[in-house]
Parts: sequence; C-alpha cells; structure tokens
Amino acid sequence: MAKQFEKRDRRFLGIGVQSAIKGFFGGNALLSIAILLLICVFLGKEAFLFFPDHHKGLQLYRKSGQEYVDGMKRQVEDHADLNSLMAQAYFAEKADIAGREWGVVDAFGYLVDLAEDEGEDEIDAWADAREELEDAEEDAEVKRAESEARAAWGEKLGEILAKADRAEADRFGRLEAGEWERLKASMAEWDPVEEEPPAFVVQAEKDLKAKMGTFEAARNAFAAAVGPLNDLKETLRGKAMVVKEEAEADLTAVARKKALVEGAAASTNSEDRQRRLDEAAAIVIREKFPFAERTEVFYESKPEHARLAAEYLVALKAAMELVPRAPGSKEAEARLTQIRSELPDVLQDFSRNSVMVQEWRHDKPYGWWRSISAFFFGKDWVTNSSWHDFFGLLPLFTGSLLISVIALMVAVPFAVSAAIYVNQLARRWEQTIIKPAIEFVQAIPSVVLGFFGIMVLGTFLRELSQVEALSWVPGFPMAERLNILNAGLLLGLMAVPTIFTLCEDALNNVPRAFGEASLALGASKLQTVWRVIAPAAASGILAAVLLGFGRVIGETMVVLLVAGNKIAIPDFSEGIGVITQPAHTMTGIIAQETGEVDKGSLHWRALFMVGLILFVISLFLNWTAQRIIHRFRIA
Amino acid sequence: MSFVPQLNERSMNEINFDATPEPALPAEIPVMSPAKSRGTEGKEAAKSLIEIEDLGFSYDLGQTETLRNITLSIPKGQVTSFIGPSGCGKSTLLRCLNRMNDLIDTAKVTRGKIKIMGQDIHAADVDPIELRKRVGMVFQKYNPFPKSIFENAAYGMRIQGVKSQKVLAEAVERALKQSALWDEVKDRLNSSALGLSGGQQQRLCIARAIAVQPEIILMDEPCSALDPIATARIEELITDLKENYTIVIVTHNMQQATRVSARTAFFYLGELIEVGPTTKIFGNPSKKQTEDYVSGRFG
Amino acid sequence: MWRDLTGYAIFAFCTYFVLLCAFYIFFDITAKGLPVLMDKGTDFLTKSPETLVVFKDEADEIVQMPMSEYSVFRKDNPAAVIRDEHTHSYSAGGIMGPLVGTALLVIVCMLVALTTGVATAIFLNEYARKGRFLNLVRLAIMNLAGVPSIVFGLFGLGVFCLWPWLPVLTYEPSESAVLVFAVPFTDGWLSFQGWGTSILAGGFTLAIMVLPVIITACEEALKAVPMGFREAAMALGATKWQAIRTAVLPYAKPGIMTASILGVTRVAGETAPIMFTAALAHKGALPWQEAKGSGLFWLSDFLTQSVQALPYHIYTVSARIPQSEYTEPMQSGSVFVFMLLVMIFAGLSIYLRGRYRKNLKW
Repeated sequence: MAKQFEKRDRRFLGIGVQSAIKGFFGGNALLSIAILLLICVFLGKEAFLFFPDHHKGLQLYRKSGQEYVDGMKRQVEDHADLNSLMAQAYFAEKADIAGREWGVVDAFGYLVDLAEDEGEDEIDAWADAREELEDAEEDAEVKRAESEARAAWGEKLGEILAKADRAEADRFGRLEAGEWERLKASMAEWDPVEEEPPAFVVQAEKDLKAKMGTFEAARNAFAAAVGPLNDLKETLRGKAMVVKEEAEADLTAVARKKALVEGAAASTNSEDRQRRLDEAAAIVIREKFPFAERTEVFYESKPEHARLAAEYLVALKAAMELVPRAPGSKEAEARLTQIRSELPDVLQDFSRNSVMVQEWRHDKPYGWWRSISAFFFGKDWVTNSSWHDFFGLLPLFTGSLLISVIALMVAVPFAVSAAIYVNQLARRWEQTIIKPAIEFVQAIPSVVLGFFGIMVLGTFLRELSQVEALSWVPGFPMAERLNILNAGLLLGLMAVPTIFTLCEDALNNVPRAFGEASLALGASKLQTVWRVIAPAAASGILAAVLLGFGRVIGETMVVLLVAGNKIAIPDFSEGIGVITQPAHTMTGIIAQETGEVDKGSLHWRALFMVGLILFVISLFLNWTAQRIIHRFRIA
Repeated sequence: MSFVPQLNERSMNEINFDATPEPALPAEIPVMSPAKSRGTEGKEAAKSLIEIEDLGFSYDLGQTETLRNITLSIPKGQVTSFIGPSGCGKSTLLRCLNRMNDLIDTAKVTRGKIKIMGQDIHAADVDPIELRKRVGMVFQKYNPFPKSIFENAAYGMRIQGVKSQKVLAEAVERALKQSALWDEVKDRLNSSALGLSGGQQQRLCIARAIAVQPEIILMDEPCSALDPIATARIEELITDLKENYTIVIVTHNMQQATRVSARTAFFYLGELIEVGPTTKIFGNPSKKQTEDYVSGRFG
Repeated sequence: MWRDLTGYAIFAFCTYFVLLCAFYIFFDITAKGLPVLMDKGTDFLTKSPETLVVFKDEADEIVQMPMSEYSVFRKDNPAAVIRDEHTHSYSAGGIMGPLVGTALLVIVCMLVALTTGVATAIFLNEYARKGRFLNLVRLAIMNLAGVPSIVFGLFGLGVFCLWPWLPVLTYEPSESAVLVFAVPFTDGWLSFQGWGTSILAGGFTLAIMVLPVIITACEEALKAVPMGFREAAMALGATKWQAIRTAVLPYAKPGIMTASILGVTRVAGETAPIMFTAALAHKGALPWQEAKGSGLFWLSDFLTQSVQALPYHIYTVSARIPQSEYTEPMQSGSVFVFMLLVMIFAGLSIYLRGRYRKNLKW
C-alpha cells in the first residue's frame, strides 16, 4: 500500500519552501531588532570613542596652561558682568538726574557729525582759506576768499541745520522745550575748524560733569580695577595658545614628515621636491613635548597674579566706596543694590579662581571622572574655537528640558481634556469630526510649525509682551522673538495629538461596566468621568504623557527654527521669566552642527554622544510607559 | 481493498468529466467508485476509515488534557455524529482529524494515534497539507471568501494548482450540484458570495469543501448559525452526500444527530462515553451519562 | 447642575481650542501662500529655485529678476543703469527640484519600508509563535517608534552615507572604496564605497524611521481578516503561504494601502532624518539630468545623487538665509505647497481608513 499523505514539499538545499518563506518573513521581523542594535552600535561606537579623545583634549588644556589662563579669564569675566551692571546704573542715573544736559551734549554730537559729514567740502575750503590767511594776513584777496569761504560755510550750516532731524538727534527725548532751537542757534558759534563747542554746550557739559562727576569717577575706577589682571591674562593667553598649537603640531609631526617625504619622492619638479624636503627637515620630532619647560612662564607669573589679584580687591573696594550712596534714580539704585548683593558671591568665586590659578600645575593628572563630568555637567558648549573646544551638555539639556516641560504643561491639560470630552461627553457627530481633525493636526509637518513660529507666533508673542498692561507677567517684555516659550507652545500643539490618541485608547480600555455602575448609582456623567473613569485610566494617561514627553524632547525642526539657538544655560534668576529667553537644544545642536563637522573629529563624536543620550532618554521613556501600561492593565 | 486503485479510478473519473459535457448526478450514477465500494461494504460491518487509538490531546503543551483516552473507529460511507455538552472536546477531536489544531502553537497530541486510511496522520513524513486535501472541513460559522461564488467553489482546486478554466468550471458545477446550490446560483456565479443567504453561504462552504473531492468531510456544528429552514436544507444535503463521502459531524442538536447520522459518539469532559448506532444511543443507551444527556437532563 | 455644565464647557473648550489653533495655522499659511501660487502660477511648480536679483533701474523702479534672466539681461543691455543691486539666495524660480527630491525620497522609502514592513507584519501576525523572539521583536518595534527622528538621521549618516561596506555600481570607483569588483561585460565596477549623501541613503533612513508605523498598521489590517478565512483555506489543503497569499493578503490589501499612505504622510513631512543623509540646500540639476551611464549603472548613479527636498528647502529659506521682503514669497509658497501635499496624503489616509473600517463586514 502506498503511503498516504506523503510530504510533497519541494526542497532546496535541504530547506523546505514553506520554511524558506517563513524564514524570509522572520528575517524581516528580525530586522527591527537588528536596526535597534545597529543604532546602539553606531551611536555607541562614535560616542564612546568620544570620552578618550575628550579626556586627551582636556589634558592638553591643562598641560598647555590654557586652564591656568582660563582661571584668570573667569575672574575677569565675572568682573565684566558686574561692570555691565555698573554701566547700566551709571546711565540710568545720568538719564534721570542729568537728562537735559546729556541730551544737549548728545544732540550737539549729532549735529557736529552731520555738519562735518555734509559740509565737509565747505569746512575744508574754509580751513584752507584760513591757513592761507594766517600766512598772508594783509592780502585783501586772501581775506576776501576767507570771508567768502566763511559765508559759504555759514550758508551750508544753515542748510544742514534746516535738514537736521530732531528725532534722530534726541532719540530719547531728553531735550527740554525750546532747547533744540537754542542748540541750533548756538551752532553759529561753533567753529568747525578749531572744533570749539559753543558756550551753550560748554555749559551743559559742565553741568553734566558737576552732577555725574563722582559717579563717573566711581564707574571708571570700577572698570579699571580689573585692568592689570586683564593685561596679564592677555599676555599669558597668547603664550598658552602657542604652547597648545605646538603641542598639537607635535602630535602630527611624524605623520606630516612622512607625508612630505613621500610627496617629495613622488614629485617630478626638483624645486618642489627640495621645498618639501626642506619642510620635512624643519619638522622636529620630539619624543615628548617639553611641557615643563614651555609652561615655566606660567609658574613664573603666579606671584604677579597673586599681587594683581590682591590689588584688584583693593581697587574694587575703593571704587565701591566712590559710588554715591543715594543715587537719584530708582533704576540706578536697583542696579547698585544688585551689584552689592552679587558682590560677595563674585568675590568668593574670585578667590576660588585665585586658589585654582595658584594651585595649577601642568603635570597634575586629569581625572577620568572629571573629564566625564565635564561633558555631562559642563556649562559651556563652545566649538570651532581657536582657544579650546568645550563640550558641556548642560546648556543643551537644560534647553531641551525647559522647552519640553513647557510643551507638556500646555499639551497635557488640553489633550487629556479633549480625550475625555471626545470619549465620554461628546455627541456622536462630534466624535466623528474631532478624531480625524486631531489626526490632521498630527500630520502638520514640524518644519511648517517652525515656519509659523518664526513668522507669526514669535511676532505675536513679542507684541503681546510689549503691551503695557501685561508688563507684570514675568519675563515680559521679551527681548527675543525666538525663545523657549515660543518653541514650547508649538511643541505643545504637536504633542496634543500623540497624548490625545493614547489617552483616548486608555479611556476606551476602561470597561463599560465601571461607568455604568457609577451612573446606575445616580452619579452624574461628569462625576462618573471624574471619579471612576479617569482614575481607572490614570495609568494609561500617565503613559501617554510619558510618550508625549518622548515625542517632544526628540523633536528637531521646531526647536531648531524657533528656540533661538543660543548656547547658554538660560538665566534662572528671573524665576519663571526664564522662558522668554532663547535656548539651544540637544536635537537642535545635532541638526545644526553635524553637517559641518569632520567625520571622526572630537566634535563629531560629541554630537553622536548627544544623539546617544537622546536615544537612551527615548528608550527609557518608552520602556517606562510600556511598564506602566503593562502593570496597571485592567484585566 | 487498497486506496490506490480508488485514486486511480478517481483520476479516471476526472478524465471522464472532460469527455462528458454533463456529468451525471451522483444520485443516479455513482460517479465515484469509492461510493460504489462503500455501497457494497456499508451493509456489512462497515470497514473503519478512521481509527482513533487511545488519543490524548492538550491545548497547553500537555499540562491539562482536553481529550483523554479516546478510542474510536469511524466507518466509511456513513455519517457519524459527535454529541456532548459544550466543552466536552467533540470539536477538538474533530479538528484533530485533519490536524487543524496544528495551527494552535501550544496544541499537542499527548499520546495515542489517529489512523486515517491506515496511515498514522501524526507520523513524521505525513504532510498535513496533503492530509487536509483529503479530509475536508466545514465550519460552524459559514466563512465564504469575499469573492464570487465561482471563485469560492474553485478555491481548493486553484490552491492545488488546477489552472484549466474548463476543469475548474466542471468541478465547480459538480460541487455546486452536489451541494444542491446549483439551481439557485447558476445564473450568478460571478456575483459575490456574501450576497447569498446564510444557509446558501454554508452550502457554498460545503461545495467548496467537496469540490476537491475529499474522502472525508468534517462538519463542525454546520447549522448552529442558521435558521430552521436552512438547517433542514443542510441536513438534507448531508443525507445526500453520505452516498459519496464519509462524514463526521459535530452537533449540539440531538434531533439533528438522529436525523442525519448512522452512528453517534457521545463525549463528556474530554472522554468518549459511548459510541454506537444512533438508534441505540438515543433509544437504549448503555451508559447513565448518555441517557441523562440525550433525555435532556443536562447539557 | 451648573457645575456639570461648567465642567462640560471646560472640556469642550479645551478640545475646540486645539482645533481652532490648528485651523488658524492652516488658514494663515494658506492666506500667505495661495496668493504666491496664484501669482507665480505653474512656474512655481515647474522651475527650480535660483537666486533672486533685485535692483533699481534708471527710473528708480525696483526690478526683480532671477539670476539666469539677469545675466541674459546684462549681456543684452550692457549699458543698462543698475543701482542698489542685491541678491537673495533661493528666492526666485520655483520649487521643482525640492518637489522632485521629496517625491523620490518618499518612493524609495516606501518601497523599502513596505517590503520589510509588510513582511514583518505577516510574520508577527501569521507565523510567529508566542515566545521570547516575538516579545523581543515587539519590544524592538515599540522602542523604534519612540526614537527621535534626528537620531535616525545620525544613524543614517553613520550607516548609509559613511559606512563603506555598501555597494554601488560605478564607472569611477571612489578612492575610499574598500572593495572593488569589475563587472563582467562592462567597463564598470561594483564598488563598496558607501552611498554618500544620496536618495538611497535618505530613503533607507526614512524607511527605518517609518517602519514601526507601517508594521503596526499592516498588522491591524491583517488582524482584521477573520480567522475563518485562514481556516477555510487550510482545511482545503492550502499551505500556510498559499493561505496567506490567497485568503489573507487580498483582504488585507485596502488596509495595507491605508498603512502605506499613512507612512507617506509621516515620511514626507520629516526633515531631520534627511538633513545630512540626502538633502542639499542647493542643487542645480535634477537627479536624472546628472545621472550617467546606462542600465543598472544609470540607476545606481541616479539613486546615489543627492537631492533638494521640500522640507529642507523650507528650513533653508526660512532660517538659513537673511530674511527680507523678497524672500517671503518663496517661503510662503513653499510652505503652503508642502503643507497642502502632506495634508492631502493625511486626509487620504484618514478617509481610506474610515471607509475601510466601515466596509469590514465579513
């Protein structure tokens, strides 16, 4: 008897057709795992090569003395911050108590500029004529020419004065009534050759000096206090730069020499060959770069730094003594108070930096942990700098986080409410309209939203912030059109559909019986939603928020276009007003810089490292969301 | 008698179809020789076509057994009913017969064997695909494809690689005639099967199953989704079909079992309680449980 | 009672406010972009971007001219008075190049994504047994869905553009090729040199990004095909693959179509993944004008061309060039056309899905 139901599967190389087909499909499914692994590998490889390079870079930064110089630089910069506050105070005071005089002096300056500009020919002619007159005082011809030239100038001056724009001359409206005319009238006294100001202006200058003299002296003393230290820094900075460049050249010396010799060998032109060989001969190959020898100059400058630092403290104190106790302007007073309150911190930083400078040694080993934390907690992201590239994540991370938080604060209430409304409260026809409409919102390309942010929302927000009645809002009026708030709002709109859809699913998963039970007990629809359905869906809603967060923090184009792209940690001193400042983000920096970076450079690797961090954050959020959904799933 | 010559005869029949424009109805001329042989053997102690020996079956890799110790032989050319309360394993056993349970990842035959036409169907070299071509199945919920009536009936042939439009047309016509649907649909073979009534759709499913001329047709509660009139048509059809096919039917409806089947097997909690001629099972059961069930005391 | 009403009103307000915001954006962009399109007509769609020259002629009238026209004008009128001449990049011409580039990227992406996506969905829904592998695949897909698009961009840059072990057919292998084979009967080479910034690299990057969307949507389509179809086919002796091919895929096809249009919507709107893998801000010729060779060599050269892409073009004109009143028409017009395209696809996918869900009656 023949066998029944025998296999007829065709086989090739011992593999059945059916299993081959299955294998094909399975292989494709495997692809998603493979891609995930590949992402890990590719990002991970570049990113983890980053740390050794970064470490090396920082070691060189120390060895070359750059770190030493940057210690001083920080001292100077801290002072500069205070100095700008001081300048603000000074000008506020000047505007307030000597506004008229200042206005006169400024307007005079404008008129002089205008006259010298427009009447250049006449002035020159008159000057020439006067010179000739000096040589030949009695010559009637010359005399006549001189008076003609003077008349021509006078005429021109009249023209110029008629043309002069008051709004331009007195931009801040400081002149009092009639003074513009008086000033113009007094211009006749002005001698464009000798450049003697008219008496009216001289008087104003004198008054200004009387009113602002002490403050000005204080301000100048304050500004000058750091001068010597700054000079020392500048001198040393140049030296450190040279050391660094030479040390870097040393690293490539062997390779460059080899390339030149090879090039010479390949060259057919004897002149060119000789040039190359000479160049190659000029390259000194050192076993080890003599850092100790080259950095001696920094060690030698340490006593001078100590002296200058001490002098600075004395000079600063003296300058502060000069500052008027009771300035006439509220604004000036506020600034001065700010200086006084910040001063202790600045001085503390100053002495800390002094200690750092004094203790700096080029051969002190740079700790691994320090170089790693310099990436994760570094406050500067400075690239393409001739000095030293800093790769600190903190400004980017802060920007991303701030923008995401704002986006979520906007999106979550709207999305959750909309989900509850559509799922529980809306009429049938509303559901059939709203759900697709929200999907439409999801389809708006991010670059379109970014464009809208630049063109419309930014302008709108800034105009809104300039409304007088809203000046109490922290951060208003905003200085920048493109800022955290603008990006946050747009991303919020982007996150709404994601959160909405997931929330709606979560609400759908709540068994009908829950709601029915509550309704049957006499609860109103809203009570039921609030007390029964929403809590039952809470875990799903939480997961939706997490996934929304993942979407927002990973979004690129909107933040690239709208966040303002300023690489700095936003200034939190204004509290919630921080959101009106521009910022840069992790996604934005990758998009902006990756295209222009050499493959395999430290900068390139730093960008991949940022990418890896984004990847890890998104995996973490996803995974957590899934865990939450899984754990609290209603059976 | 071995099956090989029957197969030969069958293929000869197919050739004959090519020659004869109007194939004879099975009722008048026994088209297929298996039926003829069944006719002669049926009166004597029927030769069993399916032998189930001490079968154990589990849906969860052997942790709990859904079927236990089933030993049963199903004779050729008859209708055999499986009855029993819900969850007793009758459908499971039915699906074992053409290895449809293979589609469930964790399903497993834990012991025993099933022989169809003398062949252990779980043997390593048995292809379930080949098995299913010979053991057709009709499901509880009629499931025609959303295609034309013709395409539905021709589906099995197409799967087996039949391309000739003529062969297909003849096979479809024969199947539709056998399933008593021909007169109702012959004018609209190309319209969608979903336009048919429920009973017609189920008969189309039967036509689809018999178009490939299986030896055995398994029916899993074929009438449970139909109204009484459609049910009657199907039952009539089953009675007609038993001339040519061995039919195993799972049913909830005890009247249906008495109307259509020659033999009945009663299952309870995964075990075969009793099997015998339908008249005996319903008239004079030997087991108490059977009697309780058929008299409607439980189930 | 009034509390219920207020609550109700708050929920309704939140819902409609979001829609209102979105509607305002549509409205604003249409209001700015439509006049540009009307004004420039079909030229806007059939010309590529070029530099705009603005100057004052002898009558002190401001004249705007595309660079190509301007050079002809200068040649023809060497004596013409031209004052205050200044140029604005990408602000003249139309958006043909970016449109074509986006279309090519979408096509390559969908070819790749649909093949693997549908195959994966078939595996997951039809073949896979519950177990560790399946869980792993699902986990991978779910996590892939959450990865930021810029990370895909970096990944694509690392793998598809710069990784040298990807082959191209070329007549002039690059010096950085790691492996080169001569192709018999031609004077070309099969060179493993990576794809560089190209349609292929961008398309693959986008495909990987959109894969989870396609897989999920295709799985939904497959799940919607009743089990009975598979059983009926199998019971008739169909092999697994026959059952899938004849009794599952034909009925999942509308769903798969919907999935692919959904995918197109996602992909067409993305900028970040193509920024460094495919798109250039400026490209004079269309890809087929620059591709050389014949047959497969032509195809290879064609696919390894870089392109302009509409979203990247928008980014360029709205953020990377100095802004002025002369750059605005190009910005508004591009944004409008782009939004319109994406919205059409989005609408189509939403409509198709709605219809498809409604028509599931088996």
